[in-house]
Amino acid sequence: MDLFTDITLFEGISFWIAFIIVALPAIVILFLGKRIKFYTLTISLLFIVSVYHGNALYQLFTFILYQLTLIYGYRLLSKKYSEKNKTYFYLGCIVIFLSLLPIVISRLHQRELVALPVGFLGISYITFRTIQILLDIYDKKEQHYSIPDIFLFILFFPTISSGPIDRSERFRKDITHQYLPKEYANILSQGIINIFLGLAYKQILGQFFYTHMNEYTHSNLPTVLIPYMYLYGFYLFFDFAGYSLMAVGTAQTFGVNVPHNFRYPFIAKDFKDFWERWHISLSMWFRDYLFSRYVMWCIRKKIFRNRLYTAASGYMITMLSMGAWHGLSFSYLCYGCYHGLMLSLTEIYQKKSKFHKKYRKNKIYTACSIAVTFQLTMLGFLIFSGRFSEVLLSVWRHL
Amino acid sequence: MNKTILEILENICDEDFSDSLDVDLFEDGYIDSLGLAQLVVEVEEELGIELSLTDLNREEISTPQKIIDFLNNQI
Repeated sequence: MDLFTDITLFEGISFWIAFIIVALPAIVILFLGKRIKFYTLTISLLFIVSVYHGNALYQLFTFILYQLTLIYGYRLLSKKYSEKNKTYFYLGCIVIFLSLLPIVISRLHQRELVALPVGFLGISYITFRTIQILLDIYDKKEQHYSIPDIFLFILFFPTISSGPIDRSERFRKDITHQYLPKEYANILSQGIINIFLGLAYKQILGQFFYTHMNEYTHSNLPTVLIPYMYLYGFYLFFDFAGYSLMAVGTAQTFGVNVPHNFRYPFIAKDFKDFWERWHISLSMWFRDYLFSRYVMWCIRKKIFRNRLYTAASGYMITMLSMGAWHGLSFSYLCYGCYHGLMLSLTEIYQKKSKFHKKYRKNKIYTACSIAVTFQLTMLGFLIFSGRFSEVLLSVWRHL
Repeated sequence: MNKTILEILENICDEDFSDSLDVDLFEDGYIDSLGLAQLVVEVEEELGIELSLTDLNREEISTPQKIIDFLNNQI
């Protein structure tokens, strides 16, 4: 049984054998039109104990109990205050801060700024889900889910460690839905296609770019950065999009339509369009739970006179948070800064430029926009990779 | 009220939609997430209708006419 006690999600033969074994009963039950909420929860727990070991497993469960206490405590407390009450706002802020605390400690620990060793695979993705629930409670949205629903939403094995980031209410609808055989057959067939497509993306194309990319890591000459940039960009896409497709496909096998994470990101017309195509579930989360809230607050309080300042500050804050979420390294923060800047410049250009307004529907203009955006997003990936700062540092030292 | 809605839209998109009520505001790039946030705040301030950003379905409010219909239904 050693085969199944040390599994990595979506990797290796033992994961796929285990998956087929547990998926078959799920498929049969779903075809019979029954719900499989508790079966899926059991399977998710089994996968978790095969993937996480020792300290990581202990941390994961402590973390989840901590977050659930926050959710249920906040749910009870929030009912006592009206939305207009100042205390209600401060209470919300405190709860969000407490929910973020573990990931903040974990990120600081990575940089050796805090001694407390917190951190396990998926901590950041689970935090997204719990904050989404907390902010929905803050918005006084109706909460229909039970404790097992929340548990499953947080622990659902296909998405636990690397997304896509689903939304609790959408997820709950899927796990409580009773499928017609035809309806489920359709989802299952899409799921199987997604799994195979994901495997091809990650294992064949991702590996191909990875191998070639590594041919350019031995030298610190600035000229190697150009081929490295494109190879890394494509590697990152196929690796991550492949992983996401497998997560979506396995989730569909269990009757859950997790949102897709990628939609042809390399044909984006501009940076705004890019974030609607790249790591979509992450950018939509930041849009709904940070950017829009910040922008609305600015407009209400009349913080800036000019709308463009509101937009630019919103983009910078959102993208810097996104960078910091990846980790507190120089490269990630630069990556966030770069995208914040690019989104702000896009906004200013599109609002101010008469040329853009005149030609934005022109085919040649669109083709040029796609080409420019492609080059600039590739530069973004190069910053993200960490190689850019390494090479810059080496050139600096040389000088 | 319909006039106020069109004024709000003109303020956000720099375009008068009085004669083009069926333009797709999202597809044609007039409104993005920034414009939507502005729309929610201005509708609240000018018309006193409170909307929740995360509950808004973009399909339901994709054209000026749809926004007018949607907001009239909210009263």
